[in-house]
Amino acid sequence: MTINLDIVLKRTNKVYHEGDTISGVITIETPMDAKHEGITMTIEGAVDLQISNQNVGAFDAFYNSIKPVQLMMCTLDVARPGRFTSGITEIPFEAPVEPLFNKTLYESYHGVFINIQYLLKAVIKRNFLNKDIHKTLEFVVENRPSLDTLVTKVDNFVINQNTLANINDISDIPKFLILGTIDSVICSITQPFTGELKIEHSDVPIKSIDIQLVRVETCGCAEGFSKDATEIQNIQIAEGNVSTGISIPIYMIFPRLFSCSTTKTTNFKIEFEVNVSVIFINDHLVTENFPITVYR
Amino acid sequence: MSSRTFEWNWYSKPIINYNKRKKNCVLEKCGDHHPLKLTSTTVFTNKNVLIDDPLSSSITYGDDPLSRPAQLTPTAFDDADNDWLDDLPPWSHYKQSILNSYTTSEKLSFHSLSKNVQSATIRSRLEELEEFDDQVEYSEKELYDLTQQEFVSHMDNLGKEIIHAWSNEQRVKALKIVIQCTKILSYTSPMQFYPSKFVLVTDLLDLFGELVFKRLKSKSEIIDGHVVKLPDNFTPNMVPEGAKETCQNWFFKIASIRELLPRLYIEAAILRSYRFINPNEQNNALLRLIKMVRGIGNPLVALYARCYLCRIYVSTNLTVNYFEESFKDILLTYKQLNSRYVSKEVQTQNMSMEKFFQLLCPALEWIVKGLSAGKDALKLDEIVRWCTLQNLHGLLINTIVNTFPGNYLAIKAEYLINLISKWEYDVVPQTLVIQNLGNSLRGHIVPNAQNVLREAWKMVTKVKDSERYMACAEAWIYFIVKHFKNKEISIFMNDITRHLSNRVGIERFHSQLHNILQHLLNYIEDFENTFHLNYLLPYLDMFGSDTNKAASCKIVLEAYRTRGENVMSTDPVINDCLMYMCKILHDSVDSLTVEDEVRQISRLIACFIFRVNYGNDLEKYLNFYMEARGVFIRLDYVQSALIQCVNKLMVMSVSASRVLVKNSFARACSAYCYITIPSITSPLVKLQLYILTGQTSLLNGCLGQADACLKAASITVRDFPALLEIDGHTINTEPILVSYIKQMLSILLVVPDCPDQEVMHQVRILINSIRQYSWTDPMQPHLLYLYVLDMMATATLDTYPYRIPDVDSNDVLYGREPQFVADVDSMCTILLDNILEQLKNIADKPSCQKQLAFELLIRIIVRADLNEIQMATLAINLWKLTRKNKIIDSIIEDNKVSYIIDFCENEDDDIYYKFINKITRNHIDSVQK
Repeated sequence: MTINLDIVLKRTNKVYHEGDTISGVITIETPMDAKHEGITMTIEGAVDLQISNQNVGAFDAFYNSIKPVQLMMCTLDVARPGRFTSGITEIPFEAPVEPLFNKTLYESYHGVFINIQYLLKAVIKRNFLNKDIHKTLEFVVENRPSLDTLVTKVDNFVINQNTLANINDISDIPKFLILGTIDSVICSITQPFTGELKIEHSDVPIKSIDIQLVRVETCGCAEGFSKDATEIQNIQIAEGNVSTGISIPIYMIFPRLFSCSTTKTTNFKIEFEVNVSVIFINDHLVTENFPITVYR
Repeated sequence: MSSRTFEWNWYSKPIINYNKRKKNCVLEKCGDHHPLKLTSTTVFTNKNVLIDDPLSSSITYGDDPLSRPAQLTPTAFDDADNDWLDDLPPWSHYKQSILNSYTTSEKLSFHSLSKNVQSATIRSRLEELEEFDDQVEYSEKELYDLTQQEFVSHMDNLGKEIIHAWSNEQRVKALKIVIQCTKILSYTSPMQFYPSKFVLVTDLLDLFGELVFKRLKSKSEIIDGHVVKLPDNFTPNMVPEGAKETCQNWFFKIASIRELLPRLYIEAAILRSYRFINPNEQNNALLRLIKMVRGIGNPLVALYARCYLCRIYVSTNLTVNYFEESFKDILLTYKQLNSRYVSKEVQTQNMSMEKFFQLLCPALEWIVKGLSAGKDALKLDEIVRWCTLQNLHGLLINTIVNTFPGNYLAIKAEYLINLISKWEYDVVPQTLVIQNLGNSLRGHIVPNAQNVLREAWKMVTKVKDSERYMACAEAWIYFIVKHFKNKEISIFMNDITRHLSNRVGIERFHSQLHNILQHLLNYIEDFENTFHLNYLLPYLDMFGSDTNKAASCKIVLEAYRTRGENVMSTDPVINDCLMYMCKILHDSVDSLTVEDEVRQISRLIACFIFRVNYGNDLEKYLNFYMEARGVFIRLDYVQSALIQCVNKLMVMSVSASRVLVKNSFARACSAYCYITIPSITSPLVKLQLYILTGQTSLLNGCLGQADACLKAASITVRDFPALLEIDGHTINTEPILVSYIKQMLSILLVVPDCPDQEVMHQVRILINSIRQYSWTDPMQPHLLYLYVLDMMATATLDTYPYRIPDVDSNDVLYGREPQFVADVDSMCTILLDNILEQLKNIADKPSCQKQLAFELLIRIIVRADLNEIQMATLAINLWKLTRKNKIIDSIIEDNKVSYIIDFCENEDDDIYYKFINKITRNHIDSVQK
């Protein structure tokens, strides 16, 4: 005898903003009548922080889990103890999306060291002979899109053998010249990251040109402080020895769960960077880094 | 003859009262029903009346039921309704030709998500078992050393796997498979196979795009649990949020694919699905994708990617012309093709640059075709100008020559030729472009053709490679035949001959030489003079072996047959030339040649023989026919045609003059025929020809020859087969034979007896033949005897009803000598005995008996002398016999009776009146009964 518990939200995309009301139905499907001790629904949001063991000592790593910061907590009694008749039972619920006192709701985000997650948890309590039935559903919280678009900031860049840092002998390096433009380093998360790039000249054939989206997560608090840059995604924009003198478009869509608006709080920071890397046929790599600001 | 069953002796009627009879046998008697009467053509007199003849009404293009299936053949892009795209050939045509022409024998290796492709070793069997445990887990692995066939079937399997995964709710897996497939396109090795690889992979992509679109559509059609059909031209606001979300997710998923090529191809594949979110995004996305292709370094890969995008564009029915965008990018990156990195890569694959360029052609041609479709000349001019601005623009010009509309190219031909002639270092050989230009100009009028040809040929003649040369020649023959007269054609043909003679391996070019010849003869304006030109025989000499030569001779003769009515057939040079070709053609026939082929060849040769014309010089004709007989000994049809011709000659010699000298010529002709006929196998033709020759010999007074021919004919009759196969049908020969025998009888009447032989010896021979022939119908010989009776009775008359001028028949020779009449009558008596015997034998078949009796009765009344008491008694007896049996067909019966009565009434002798009285009484009696 199995009871299936499911949460269905009214919004199919599961995206909510602060102040919205989250509503939906809990569906219970049971092949025969079943007793229960009540159904509760918890809505919670929290920031989980972790300190990577690269930045702290091995001992500290022991404590690397920092206490999560709770942003939202709300419990609903959906149903009193009773019976389910066989078949499908649907119980609607509704709750406000509101932060706890003195807290703000950050955008949902899944990173390596920082996770901002909002969950709906439904529980059917059963008597001591049966296990409780749990169901968890994540929903997404986003900032309201800002109506006044921020100023765009064009970034023109030039990469050649002279602009390179951390090299030993400049004479070893073959000559090349790459020109490019980033349409804006202040980017709307809903819009693609665009720009273009032109190989003016290269002595060594090019193997590949990639656009790398990097998150920079900073966890800072009393116990420790860490800053880590990890790759989110890598988009190849050129393969093989591309023709010179022609603009190659740079185009990247921000991934939905793994990116959010640039967030800076007292406890943690989520920032993003874009790397344009050119890989030559001899596997030498040239990277240009662009810190970007993401907004919604 | 010693033991006679019946005592009836035949007595022929001494005279037939023709004058009196003729008076009565006039047409009016038949009234309106005379079969030979002039029929007034009332049916089709009124031309203005619209007759609804289904065959004559012109078939409009769309209505023709035969052309419809071709239109309905599903093509990949038949939903595009932009007007100008109609002249764009559907991709499916290209697809097949690409698959056919770009193949490889090399082994293919690539990474793939799949299970069981490697050769069925135990290892892979084990792996299969393992995979059975966790089917979802598809690991990436490398596939080595697949042959082309294995690769194709592997792609097929992947297609099935995609569908399977899709229908099992494992859509991400399907996507993974598609991504893996698309990655294959980044590996160009082996290059030769790349275009085919492209076709195979894009088929999978199309499939995937279709799956996504259908799935989204079906998702959109379920609103609150109800199915609402989405119209074909739906807009995003008809689409529920859920479906939009799914669609958006697909695009997000694809946007995060790391590799450029899969990201680009797959987004293009599902581009159509943007319609669920925002149709305008299709335009933006396609434009972006076209730009993205710039990031592909390998020109081969990039070009095919562009081709795919253009295909997607055609299928999505967008308004902006993306062909132009793509083509501009191609021009921008064109220099890449000639860069040293590319040539180095091509070299590592052991391929020449020229071959490499050929790999690019299908994609480039398709794009340029799309680009030029529906454009006016000005726009096309601009495209040409863009292309010429590039360095080493050979590939581009070649593509233009292959794809632009012919009428445009015709106008530009001179310009293009001049352009081509300036190339020096281009990878694309000049001759290739010239060859393609020649093909494209086919059927178009080119201004300044003289210059075009001169410049083009200047380049072509420089080429050492015979294959190139021949390809050009084959392509340009259309142009030359259309624009030039015999002089230039002659120069051109001589050039070909000069170029190819003394080359080793000329066999390679035979099919091309055939084509050139065929086209030349079919379309040359001045056909009559073709045979005057002396290029033809040297040209034919290039077909070394006999079979090839025969085939080309056949082409020439075929053309001669259809177009050569006005060729001067008196010219000995032409005749010799044709004779030479006929001889070759004839010599190619052997026992293995199929029947139909033999017939065709025979007709061609016969056609030539019929057309030969020596005016009034009959001797010359005969000499020619003599020669022809020797040469075309293997073909019956030709032999019989020759005999017909000689017979015609004989008739001509009669009409020409009546001098005795001609007689010797006629004798020669007759001898010719008599000698030739036995070599023919078909007994029917033999019989016909013997009879014919007999007649014509008779006409010329060659009595001995006529005698021989008719004797031979009689012998042929005896040995005639019962069944004969004519044109594949087996027919019963008996009715034919009967009619020929009747014809012979009427001829034999006028054939004079040979003084050395007994009386009517020809007839005797024929009767013997009839007797010896194994008839299937036992009645048949007796019915024939009746006709013989007719003829013999007539032979006793003192003047025959017809005669041949200047030939004395038996009537003159014997002058109704009593001994002659007695001899003939005795022969008749024997026949009569035979018939009476038969009458007795068939007593158990009353209807047959009655028929025969009636026929005999008529013969006796008409032919025999009833004054002889024997004859009269026999007639009465026969009459009684006919009365004895029941009347079966009373109308015929009555007609016959009334004929007899009518005949008798016209006779002067009393006996006939008595006879009438006798039978009318009987007749009335029987009717009254």
